[in-house]
Amino acid sequence: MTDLSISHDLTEALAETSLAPKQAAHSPQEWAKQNLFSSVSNTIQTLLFGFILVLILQWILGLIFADERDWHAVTTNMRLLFTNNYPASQYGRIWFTFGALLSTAMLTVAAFRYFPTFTVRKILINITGTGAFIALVGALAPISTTPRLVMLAVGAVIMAAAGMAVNNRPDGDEAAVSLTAVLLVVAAAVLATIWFVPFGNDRLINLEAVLEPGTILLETKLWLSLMVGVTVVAYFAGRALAGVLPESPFKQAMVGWWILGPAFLIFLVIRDPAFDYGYVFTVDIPIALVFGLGGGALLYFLARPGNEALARAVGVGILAVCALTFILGATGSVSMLQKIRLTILALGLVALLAPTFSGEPRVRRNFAYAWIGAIAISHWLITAINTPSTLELRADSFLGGFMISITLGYYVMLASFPMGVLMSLARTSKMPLFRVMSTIYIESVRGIPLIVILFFFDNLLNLFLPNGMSVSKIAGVFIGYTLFSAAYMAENIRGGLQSVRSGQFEASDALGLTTLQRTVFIILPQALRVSIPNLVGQAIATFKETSLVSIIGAFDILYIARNVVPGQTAFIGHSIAPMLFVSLVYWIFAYSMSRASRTLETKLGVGAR
Amino acid sequence: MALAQPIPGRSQHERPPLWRDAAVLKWLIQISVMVVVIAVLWFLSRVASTNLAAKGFEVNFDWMSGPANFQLGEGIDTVPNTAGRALWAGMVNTLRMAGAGILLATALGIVVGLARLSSNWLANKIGSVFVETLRNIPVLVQIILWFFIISELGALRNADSPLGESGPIPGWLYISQKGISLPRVFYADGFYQFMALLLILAVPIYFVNRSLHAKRDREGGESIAGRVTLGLLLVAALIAWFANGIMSFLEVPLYAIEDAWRAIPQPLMQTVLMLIALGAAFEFVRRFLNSRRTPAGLAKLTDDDYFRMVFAVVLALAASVIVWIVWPGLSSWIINSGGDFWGWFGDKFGADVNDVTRGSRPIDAMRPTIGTGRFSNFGPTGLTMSVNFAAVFLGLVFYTASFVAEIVRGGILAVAKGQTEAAAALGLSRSQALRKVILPQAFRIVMPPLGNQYLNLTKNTSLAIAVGMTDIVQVGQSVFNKNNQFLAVFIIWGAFYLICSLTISVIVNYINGRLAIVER
Amino acid sequence: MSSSLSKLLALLFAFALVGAACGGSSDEATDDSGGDDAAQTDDAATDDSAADDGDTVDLTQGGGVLAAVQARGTLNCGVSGAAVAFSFVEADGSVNGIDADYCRAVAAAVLGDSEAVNFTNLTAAERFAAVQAGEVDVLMRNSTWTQSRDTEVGMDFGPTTYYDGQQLMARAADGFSNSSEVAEIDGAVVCTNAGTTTETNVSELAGELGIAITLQTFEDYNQVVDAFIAGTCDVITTDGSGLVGRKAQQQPEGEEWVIFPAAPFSKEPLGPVYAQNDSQWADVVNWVVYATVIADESGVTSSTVDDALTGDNAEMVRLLGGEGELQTKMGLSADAFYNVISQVGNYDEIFARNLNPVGLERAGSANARWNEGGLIYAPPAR
Repeated sequence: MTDLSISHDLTEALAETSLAPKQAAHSPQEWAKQNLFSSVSNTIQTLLFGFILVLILQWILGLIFADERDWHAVTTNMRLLFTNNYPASQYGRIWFTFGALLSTAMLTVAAFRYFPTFTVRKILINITGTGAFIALVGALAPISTTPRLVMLAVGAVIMAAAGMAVNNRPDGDEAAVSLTAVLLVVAAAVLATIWFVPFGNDRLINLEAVLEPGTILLETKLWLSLMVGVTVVAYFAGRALAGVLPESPFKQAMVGWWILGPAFLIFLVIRDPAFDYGYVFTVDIPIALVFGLGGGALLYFLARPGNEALARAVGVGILAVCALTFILGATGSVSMLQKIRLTILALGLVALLAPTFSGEPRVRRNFAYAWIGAIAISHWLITAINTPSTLELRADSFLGGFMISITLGYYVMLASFPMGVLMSLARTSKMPLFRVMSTIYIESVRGIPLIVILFFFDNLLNLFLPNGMSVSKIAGVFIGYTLFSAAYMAENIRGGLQSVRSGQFEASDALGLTTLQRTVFIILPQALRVSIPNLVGQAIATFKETSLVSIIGAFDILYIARNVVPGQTAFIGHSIAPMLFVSLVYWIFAYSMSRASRTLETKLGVGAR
Repeated sequence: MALAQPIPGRSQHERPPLWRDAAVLKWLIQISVMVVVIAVLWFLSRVASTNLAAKGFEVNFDWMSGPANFQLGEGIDTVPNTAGRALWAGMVNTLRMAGAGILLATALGIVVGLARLSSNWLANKIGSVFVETLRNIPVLVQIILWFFIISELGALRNADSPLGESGPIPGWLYISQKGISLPRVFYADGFYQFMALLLILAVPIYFVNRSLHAKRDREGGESIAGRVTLGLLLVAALIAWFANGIMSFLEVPLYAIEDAWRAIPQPLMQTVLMLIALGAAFEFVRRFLNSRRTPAGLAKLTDDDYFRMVFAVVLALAASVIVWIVWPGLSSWIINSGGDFWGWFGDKFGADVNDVTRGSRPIDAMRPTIGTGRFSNFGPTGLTMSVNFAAVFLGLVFYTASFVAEIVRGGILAVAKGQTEAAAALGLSRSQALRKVILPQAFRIVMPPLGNQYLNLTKNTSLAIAVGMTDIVQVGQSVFNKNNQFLAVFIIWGAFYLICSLTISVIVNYINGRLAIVER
Repeated sequence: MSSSLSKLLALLFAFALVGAACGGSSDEATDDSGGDDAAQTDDAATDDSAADDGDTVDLTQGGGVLAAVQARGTLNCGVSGAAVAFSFVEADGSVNGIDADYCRAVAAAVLGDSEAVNFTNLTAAERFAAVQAGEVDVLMRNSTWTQSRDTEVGMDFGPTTYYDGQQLMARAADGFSNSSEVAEIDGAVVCTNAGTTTETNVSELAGELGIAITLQTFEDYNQVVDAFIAGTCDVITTDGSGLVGRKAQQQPEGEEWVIFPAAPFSKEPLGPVYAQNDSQWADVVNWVVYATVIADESGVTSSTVDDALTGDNAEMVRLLGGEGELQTKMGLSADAFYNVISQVGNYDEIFARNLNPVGLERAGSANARWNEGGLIYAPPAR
């Protein structure tokens, strides 16, 4: 690549962005002339990059279509790759979760009033490109003559038809189709593919992979069709709701769902705790009721203006009692459910916060409701976690395969968020000890690779636990990953905190807000809004890096593709095909996440300072 | 938390009671949180030591000098074949990977970033596909995929082969399934003597340079200082190359320093360390007071200020106690390792360990070779990268390049369009505008995120373990798989990566500081 | 309500709440154990740890592992999950292989149901810790029986189920044959997986013979074989079972791989591992293995086991529970080994089922019957 041509084009590109938009080409020939062969350097670039493209594509296709590549290793092991040993009889739970996520995604689209339109012209151009790509693949793939000719012909026909259609559109054509139409067409296409394309049914017969004529399992087909149906129904329901419901609560509900909903899906649906209902009704629910309602009433009272001193006294008192319960528990003289201790601790801390929320009854009521809601959710989760699953598993963990990556990424982000907020506040605070402690933590964790930290928690966590206590591999990974992620989270939020103008601090001081009130009501909301793009980026990175758990031997999708599938007698040594599949799966997820977040960011206008 | 606000209008002597005093409470909270953190850490370490004792296991570093029991397929020689040396070789591999990776990822990233800005549709699209594909696939997956790809390279053939020697440049560069081998440049015997002589010769050159600069400042005109200095340095290097033998006398004073160092009594070292701690605290207090000094005299010190000073002194006292009572071994360790260092340094001068006269060449190079036995394999002379190394290397480079490309693109686009137009208005040509206006400003914008990517790449070298490349993590794992000294290995890992990260941060911050717009 | 009174009431109420919580639960004497603690505060997925804790408690209270397994109703068996022919996860999630079959055999003996096994996939690094901590009742993870491992605190080895040994594999095109010697690999790039004893063995051997080899390590064995096929490695080395299996499955057309030296240069006896100081459980596991061997010696297979129960081979009748109380004295039901043979099969059946498909033959190897020149031997059942 000559330096000159690049610099030339660069300045050209810069100039173009600043000047009037390029004139739209009328026909493919014109378009090619404008975009590929406008000047000598442009032509050189086209030839050079075209050559590179052909080389890379040829090589990738060679990897995919090579004779020794046995794609049965992937198709046969689909279930293993995605869910490892999740019992087949209970697979409906996974479909249900999938459907719930799909339909709420549609509702979210509606809640945020995301109803884009697609111009016919652009769609046609994309179809032309697809045709060209099919033809290119047909030309370069190492396949026999007949399929090559078929692909070339199909590609050429598509390209010609769509290209002519583009040519025939009048100038300045703005005809467009709505999202609804696109969704319906896509849904119909998916359904047609599921029901009419003979994918073949891979199964093992006498240790040999056999491609049975026919299509996918009927059950899978039905489930997939149901998913498509649910998605479409949810889309229309969302549009209807968007017309009825006020905008802001609907949006808030959807955001809240995406933050907490998956936790419920994982516990209630995928894991399914086997509650001992007698115990639940006699012990768990009364405890939660007492703490939720009693604590809520107490907080409502303490938050009354004028009760600040009392609130502090009560808070300190409860904390003292809490400390006592921990000491007594440690000595073994009083036995008590751990969740009660933790709830007392939380109640004490929140009581200390009560003066911050003091004000008119409405504010206080919301404060009390928040407490009751938090108690309900946390007690339900604690009880669910401590109840064994009803699933009958043939190996150790209900999480496995790709499910591990999603679940781990989600929980790590969720758990590291509060830690990250606290540490970023500590790092930007004016208190030197807090600043030093959080800086040391953040910088040392950020200096060490994740895999070293995972090794530490995998090998040594049990060493640091008192006798008789132990955590499973995946729990150790979760703890280590959360501590790791929190340091990065803190840095991302710190960036947001620093972007808050000093006028905001001064203004809130002028209003007579306490430090805590200023932080909670003024600074954090602004800082978090600014940090959203970075946090989404971190979420994607967290999701991608869950692949590291395979190195310490957790059965995630990568480990299964690399070690388990090539260990099966039928597929000894076949790891390239599963690996290619794994990279595709990761790519689809990470790419759609980043696309969705970009759309959301523009829609919300966040991230712009 | 519950901090009382200072009440305006009251004079200072009517202080609030201690339990409502904001400064007191702030420090109380900080100190109590710190105590809790320390207590938790202490509790954890107690549990760990109890658990270890129950297993009859002791964490130590003695295994470093023990036999490694494994061979490394990569990197510097492991002579003597100890676990410590193997770890050292692993570190060198990591550093090689990180250094080379940073260079290549930057270059590739810039090319792709510029391609994405190109007006050529194909270049633009290929750039976008490159970025969107590579950054959305986990780097670990990419490393493993590269491993498969490299297997498609051609076989290594030696000169006896009927097909002729492998290429692409026989005798200089070999690329094959068995890895990549290129000429190796290494420090030879005279390197330290050479550097010492160069350092001595650099002193007068520095003064010449200064006086030339001063002259330019007085008289104006084109500066020749840079060219003259460079020329003189080249001459000095030439002299030092051939005459470095005269520095061999340094052996004597260095060994003398070693002996002197080893003769330091432990109490003296403890005293010195204590004095350093106290002196640092004193210095902190002095500077702190200076910073509070205004033209009108010392400003009123707040309670918070007093706390800061008291805390600094308390820390220094705690350090003194540690040095004297809790950990006397620290002092003797400093004495011993200081002596070791001077001894090692002395060994580099004069006759070498076996009393053979030292060769004078400071730097040497060897060309790669291919052995001619039953197997065609690389000889020991070249700098050889195994396929594992290449897989990790390419994985890291391509993954990081996709991020670098985005940073470069964003940096260039962020340079205000007005700048381009202003440059055009000044009559600068396109390439001049690019070189003198856009790129310097873009560089300033891209440097911080680029530094972050360099840090990430360095840390990601640890994924070498996925394909068995012998970096420090892989070697460490081999070590603790054999002797279970996980904690010791973990400490080494942590220290190594922290030092690497800090070094990169320091370099990037230095460059940032140099680039930053000087604001009034 | 006056404000001071209301404050007092609030205070009282707060403490009453706390007090009620204390009192309300102290009589429950609920689990305050560590596992619960960790699960509550830490993670969503610690359910296994909590469950495991329960088992550990059982262990210390009850009469050893046997009682614990019988009470639990399932056998916790540690396997690799990614070892060809030894224990690998099938597409439907089930675990197969010779190690997995011996897990099933133990379950059949103890619980009467060969499918009552809860397989735990363990990495090489964590397998022994899992035995020592009681996370698994028995470990069947192609583990070599060595002095240091056997004498290590917390675990013992059972009878060997497969005699393996380290060998080398090279290309015939490079001038190797089945009778080649180790010294002939001088100058070769030798590949193996990192951090294993095979790595140590081959580098020690090279040192003894005074030959220079370049040892190239890879993270897992699939990569080693891929590198060998590609030509990155001249020679690869691992246990003979791994080499033979791969040669049978992956040798490209037009190329010939040879395995040498004829006598392996290391001994790798693979067998079950269980917790130390529980001789009752040790006996159970040992005799499950012996039972499969004795049945093989007597020619009793899963299809002929019903005839043998009433047949005239007295030893088999005793072993299968037809008479005597050998099994009941061990704490098992009388038909324990009948279940083993009928549900899982004898040694030969297990071997043939799992190892023949990957090209490993029993005849002529160390794993042949003792009276046919092999090492598979069991003490008599009487």
